[in-house]
Amino acid sequence: MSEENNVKMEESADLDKGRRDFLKYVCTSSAAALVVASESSAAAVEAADDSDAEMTVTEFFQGHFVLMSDEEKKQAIARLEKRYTAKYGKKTTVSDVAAPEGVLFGYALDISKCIGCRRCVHACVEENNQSREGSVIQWIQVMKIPKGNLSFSADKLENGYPEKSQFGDYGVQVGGNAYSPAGLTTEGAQSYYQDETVPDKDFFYMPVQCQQCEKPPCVKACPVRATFRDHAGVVLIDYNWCIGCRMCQLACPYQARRFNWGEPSLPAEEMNPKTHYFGNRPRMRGVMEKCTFCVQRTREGRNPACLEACPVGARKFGNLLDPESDVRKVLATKRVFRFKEEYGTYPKFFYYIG
Amino acid sequence: MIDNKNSRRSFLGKAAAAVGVIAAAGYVKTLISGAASPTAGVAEKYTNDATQQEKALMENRLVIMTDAEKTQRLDELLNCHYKELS
Amino acid sequence: MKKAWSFAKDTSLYAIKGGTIFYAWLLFLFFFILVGSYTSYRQFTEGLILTGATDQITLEMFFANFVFTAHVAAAAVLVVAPGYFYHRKDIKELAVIGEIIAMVFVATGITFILYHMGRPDRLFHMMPGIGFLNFPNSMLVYDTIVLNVYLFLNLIGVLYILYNKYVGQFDSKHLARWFTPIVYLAIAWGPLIHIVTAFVLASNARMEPWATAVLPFGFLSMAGASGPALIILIFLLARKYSKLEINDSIIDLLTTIIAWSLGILTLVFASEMFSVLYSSTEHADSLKYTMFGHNGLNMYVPWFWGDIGTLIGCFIALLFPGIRRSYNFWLPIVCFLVFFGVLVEKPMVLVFPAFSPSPLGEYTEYHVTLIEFFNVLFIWAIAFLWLTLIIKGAIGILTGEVRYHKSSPHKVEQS
Repeated sequence: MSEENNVKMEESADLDKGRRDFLKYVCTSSAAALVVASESSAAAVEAADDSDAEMTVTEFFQGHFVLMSDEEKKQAIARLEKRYTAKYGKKTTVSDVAAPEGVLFGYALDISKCIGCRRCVHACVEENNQSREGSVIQWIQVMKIPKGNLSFSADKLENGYPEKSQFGDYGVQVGGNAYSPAGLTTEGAQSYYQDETVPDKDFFYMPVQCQQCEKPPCVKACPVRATFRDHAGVVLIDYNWCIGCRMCQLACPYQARRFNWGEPSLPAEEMNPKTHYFGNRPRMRGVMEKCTFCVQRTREGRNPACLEACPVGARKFGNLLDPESDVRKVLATKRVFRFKEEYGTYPKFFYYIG
Repeated sequence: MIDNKNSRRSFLGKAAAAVGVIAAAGYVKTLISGAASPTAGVAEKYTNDATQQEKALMENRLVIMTDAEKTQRLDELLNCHYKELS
Repeated sequence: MKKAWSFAKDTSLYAIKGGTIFYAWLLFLFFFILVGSYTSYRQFTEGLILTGATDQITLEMFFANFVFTAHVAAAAVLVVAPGYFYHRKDIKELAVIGEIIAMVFVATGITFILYHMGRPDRLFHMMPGIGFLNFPNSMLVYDTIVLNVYLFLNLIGVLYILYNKYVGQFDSKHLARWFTPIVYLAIAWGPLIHIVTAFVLASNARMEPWATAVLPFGFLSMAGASGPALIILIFLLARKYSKLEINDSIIDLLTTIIAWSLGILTLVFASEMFSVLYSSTEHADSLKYTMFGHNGLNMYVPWFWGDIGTLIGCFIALLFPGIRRSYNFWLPIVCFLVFFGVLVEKPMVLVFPAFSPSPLGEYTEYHVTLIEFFNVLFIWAIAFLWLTLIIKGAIGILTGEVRYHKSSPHKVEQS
């Protein structure tokens, strides 16, 4: 018995030694990486080569960005800038500017003005570095919904079941003339239209993107808290923390989240090099992404790309805490509604009829 | 053990069966990698999907607005836009 | 240490030896393991784009099969429980087989989840201490915890019983003080893993076919049908090919459990269909799509009717004593149909059609890819390989053919 104890102690001493060596290795290698990163970030473009374009071991083991110390955040940003610069051949900046204080971002969209031109969709894709070829990812989905005045006619009055003759003149129980979708409903909505000119007279258009809910079901469902709501109200994703389990995509009632099923393909000439850690920096295979209200723009006081692209001015953005902002004015004076409000998610994306 | 010749025959039988299984697995692997090969088939699949979709969507009659209808719509929008809910 | 090493060695050597049919079965599994290694390599290097999952139907065959493994793992305790609760000594002897089935199927379920994740290399993000676990909000966190605990409980149970029987120290009247509470905990934990898995699905309000209170009851009744079906098949095989004694009364008890479970399942289906189809609100769109198709998308209609027909047909069949007692013909067929009926119901009725209509009104059909299909077969082949070898080793120990004092001729006798 005592021999066994001695063996156990020796084994644990070996383990301790092994653990100490491992920790020493990790500390020295990360210290070396720190030095190398700070030196090389200045000369990033000149020193770029293919090996820099791969994810490093330190980046692989980085923790959740929100929980990092300032120093670790700087290192993470430097690593990413180096990697993106090497991969795309452009000097890439990854900003981690924080959300401004005293701001709650909100969006309003006038569905009476929307003509379904999809310029917002393509502006979003240009701004936010989505996958282009192979997997085409578009964060905004525009539904083309029939206006509902298409199917009424007098000879359909007796259509339905049971047939009239079975019950004499008691009439049909189910059926008749208005038994088809009309107005704002997702039943019969077409999202993949390819009309050459818009708008189609008999349809209206409703773009849907992440609604930035105040009670997001996706945030609740994420097992590792890779997606979270920042204090400006925007729901963000830490792409390096996401494990790709897609519980958030299961939970989202608006079909707003997009997954990188394969390696995203982004041609270097179409890449937008001004990125934000939580926003439009290029994602990797197997992580979730979605509209972030263009966090790289809005945290610096600019408007989202979709708003700037809309030719009819249907989109409004602003600070919900500022009564003089566009969104607040819309909420005060227009007929506003929330999409699928029965899910109780309290989205900050408001639709209105202007 | 039992019978030397018998056990060798059964061993050879087992070895032959194992080799057969490995060969069959290799064959199925070539079938799968052929079916899932990226370059040629993918473009075909995408265009096939796109044409099917186009056919379905083209069945909708696209009704373009006349100029009169466009002016009417613009008038209504601007009217609404300037009116405020009391 | 020596005993543990020889326990592992003797059991393994006993497990791999067998006749022609056994070898043919192992080769059959080996075929899928070979092909599956290639397809797994493809999936882990190229990503989930090689599966048929899309943003509209975000779950693949792996997740559907994971739910099924939770069924069987939860129900495996139905072999353990009667022995301990009702003091039936004959079942108590076989309890370890139930725990082995539970253990293997939980491990298979965890493997299916690994194949479902977009970044399995980031699994350490879920480990408490190293990563960040979204407790108490995320249902997947609860599922991970309860599955791993269940695996651990069953592992302890299996190792304790088999090892002690192997060295001849097992005395069912003087078990270790900590052992019986662990078994009781495992018996209660079985349904728990299944209820949590049902909650993982039911917690998504936008998945209208799943956000129903009846889902855990449906799952438990399907578990009670598919688990004992597999156990009966294994017991019948063990009776035929080994010296393990299994009374007819044990098989009858399991058949009764299957019959009751299928009966409750019929009620669950009927109540779901009634509450959804009577008023036929938008909530019913998904079930109507499964049952009748939508605008020419009819893929799930034959699967739905065929599957429900099979399960209800098996329920009616099990009401006949003649079928229940036909141990060599009808009963294996019915058990086979129940097992595969519930297995097929998971992807084809529960998971894939539930995603249509999507929140923005899209109806889609799911098309399984070859790589995904062979990965599923790969994981099942490994599961059945483990199941075969461990159960064979366990039967060896239970029948007394594998014992510690039987040292091989080459070994020097220790004094």
